[in-house]
Amino acid sequence: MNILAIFILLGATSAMTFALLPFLIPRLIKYGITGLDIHKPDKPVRAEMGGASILLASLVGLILAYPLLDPLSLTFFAAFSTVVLVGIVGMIDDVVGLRQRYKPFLVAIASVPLIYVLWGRASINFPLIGSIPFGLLYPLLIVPLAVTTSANFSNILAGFNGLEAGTASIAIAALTFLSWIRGQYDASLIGIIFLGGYLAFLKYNWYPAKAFPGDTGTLMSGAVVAAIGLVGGLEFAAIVVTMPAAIDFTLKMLHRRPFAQREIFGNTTVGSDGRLIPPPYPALAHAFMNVSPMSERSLVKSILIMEMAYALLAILVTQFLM
Amino acid sequence: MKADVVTIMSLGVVGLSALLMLVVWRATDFLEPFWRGVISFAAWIAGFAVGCMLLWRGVSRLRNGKVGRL
Repeated sequence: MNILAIFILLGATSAMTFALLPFLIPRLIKYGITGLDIHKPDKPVRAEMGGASILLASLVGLILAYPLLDPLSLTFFAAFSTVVLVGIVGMIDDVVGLRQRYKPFLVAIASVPLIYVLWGRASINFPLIGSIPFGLLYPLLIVPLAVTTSANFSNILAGFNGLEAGTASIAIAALTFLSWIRGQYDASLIGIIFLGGYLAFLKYNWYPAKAFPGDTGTLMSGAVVAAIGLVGGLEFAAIVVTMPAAIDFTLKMLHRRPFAQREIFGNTTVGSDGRLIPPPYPALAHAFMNVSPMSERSLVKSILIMEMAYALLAILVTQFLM
Repeated sequence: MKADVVTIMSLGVVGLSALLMLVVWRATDFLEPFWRGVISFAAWIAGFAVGCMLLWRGVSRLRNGKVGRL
């Protein structure tokens, strides 16, 4: 793959996202697609669904990739379609509010293009173990399960300025790098197109946020991670970079009433000194706040350092133990 | 930063649960590879869940900035 084409794609998708957001934010606020920034003392209203800019920029990336990297493979198109379809599910959710029970089904349906192109694949590589054959369960169960799980995990570890775009950028960058050095160019191309968008969006999502990614941005980032992992044969690395979100999900599930904690205990509040006060139920962000009282910005930095540690672990394990 | 204790503890949870998976994989070599994989993966998930529970208990003990007592 041409290195110049990669930089053009990365620059084009980030520039497009960057250019779209000042246009999109006032319109989202005008049409009431907004959310409250609950971790600020005055709880300002901010534009939701900022992930739509990444989705639109990725389509520009696709148009540019066509002449730059011709011929594009069917596998690339299938993975790209899955990510875009998951983004559309997120957009519908941001605009009309889908019921929680429908979202996983719709995301699983969005993985049909990936199921089609990965039909012949049957095994996953694990470090120190080798290849585990799953037969038909790979395309029929593991592919939709991976896309659904990854998308929903990204949706769970969210809610603080810069967290969603930051973790997405780190995870996608690590998997793109791995797929690139292992010669899995279809997977790395998906990563490059969306990495540009998430990096540019981070500028608007960073503290104090001007826009939230919404379910469009969070579900789509999980789908990108799953798509790169599945297409590039980097399933184990994708699991490792998703670990912070998996820990958050597991901690929340350990509670007696896993889906009702926010209704029972309320949200994290902000003290007069700007430090966050967590509600008493288990969650990854609350674990950080329990160890050391901190501001929103410090909390996000700590979780991003954790994400970087897992990204590094994924690279090291994949390169040296597989 | 004190908060990095959570990252270090989480790496321990992930590492030990992966080690459990490896041990189960090695101990079940009389089974078909598919079932070895399923059982080993289940062991990893179980170890991970128990590890997360222990992580939360450990973190709760460090509440209010008492991390210096570690």
